[in-house]
Amino acid sequence: MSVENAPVVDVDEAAIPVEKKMYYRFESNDKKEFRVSELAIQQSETLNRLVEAMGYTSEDVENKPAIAIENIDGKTLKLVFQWCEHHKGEAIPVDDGSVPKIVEIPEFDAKLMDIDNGLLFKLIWAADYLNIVQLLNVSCKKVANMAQGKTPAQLRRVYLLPSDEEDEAAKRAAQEAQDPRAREVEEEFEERKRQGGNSFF
Amino acid sequence: MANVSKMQRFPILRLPILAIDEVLITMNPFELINFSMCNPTTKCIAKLFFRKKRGFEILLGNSSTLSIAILGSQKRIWKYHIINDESAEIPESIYEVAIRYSENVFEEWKFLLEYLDDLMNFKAINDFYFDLDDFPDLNQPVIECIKTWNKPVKCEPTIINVPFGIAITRNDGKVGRMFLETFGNRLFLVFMVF
Repeated sequence: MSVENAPVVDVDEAAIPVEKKMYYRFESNDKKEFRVSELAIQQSETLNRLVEAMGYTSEDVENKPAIAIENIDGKTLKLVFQWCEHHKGEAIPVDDGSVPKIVEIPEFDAKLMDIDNGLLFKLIWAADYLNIVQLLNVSCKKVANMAQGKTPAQLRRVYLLPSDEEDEAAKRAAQEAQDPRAREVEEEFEERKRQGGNSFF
Repeated sequence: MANVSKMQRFPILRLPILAIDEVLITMNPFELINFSMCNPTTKCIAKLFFRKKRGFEILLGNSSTLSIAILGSQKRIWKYHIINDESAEIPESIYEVAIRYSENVFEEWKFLLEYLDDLMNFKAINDFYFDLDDFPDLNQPVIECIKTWNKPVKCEPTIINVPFGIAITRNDGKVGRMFLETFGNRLFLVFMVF
């Protein structure tokens, strides 16, 4: 039968089985729940392996409790999943070994990371924990950008780095706090050395 | 995780190691070097970083100014010019440039060279552009410094190309002396005007 002579059949589109998208449920440490698409989860190596290992069906996702992410709060996890949903389906970048690494921050990511440094800090921890390579790249690039055109003294302020003297004082304080008896023994040893003794005992 | 809810600044050293590495790898060499100069801890972190990422190479020169340049991937170059006159004109460059002022340009150049070598542990000098006329007083100290540094030079240094060693009188009346000199593990014919 030629194509022209084939009977025209009305198709009931509702009757065609549509592949259902699976949305996983996750819960932050402050009990906030998020529904995240399977494709978005693929951006996180940690979560992707986790859901693969769990082997949930669509029913399991609805009936079983949400997957708990114990060490990330709701505010941070919201940003993480927003990022994953926006970048779902994108290839995971591979390190080409170039130095310095060239990382462009897309407009969406720049807006998403227009947050205070406390939240940016938590976002980097979350990206590292969940192993989201590109989110870690762009968030760390934002931190690296803080160093642009700064002198070492300015960098110390930006990155909360102690100066040489403060560093030394902190080490001494930590040593003393850790073992005051060890300090006393050391002082006694130095004193005996000054007096010309060969042996401590 | 650290409690950093109200901070205005960023405590980089409280990030996980992998994230610190990610921050550093996107910084350019000028930023990395400044970071290393913050305190002994950051220097140690930067040194470890450069031990892992061996993509940087060093280029030395004394044309117009004493300079030290760092070559990164894709032929990108970051160049330090060391000068003693703040009003001096820096030659136009396609590279990213940083200026360091010092009364004693040679001592500053030497200090920076030693600092960068300690930090970045260069295996060789990638290129060495040597112009005899620009800093005649510094020719000998620069050569001595590079001699003691004892690194191989990967590219041919741009030194006067005369096939055999003889005394030459230049058109300005100055007499140059030619001698054999080793840089790293190679032998070069050097022409110097004293």
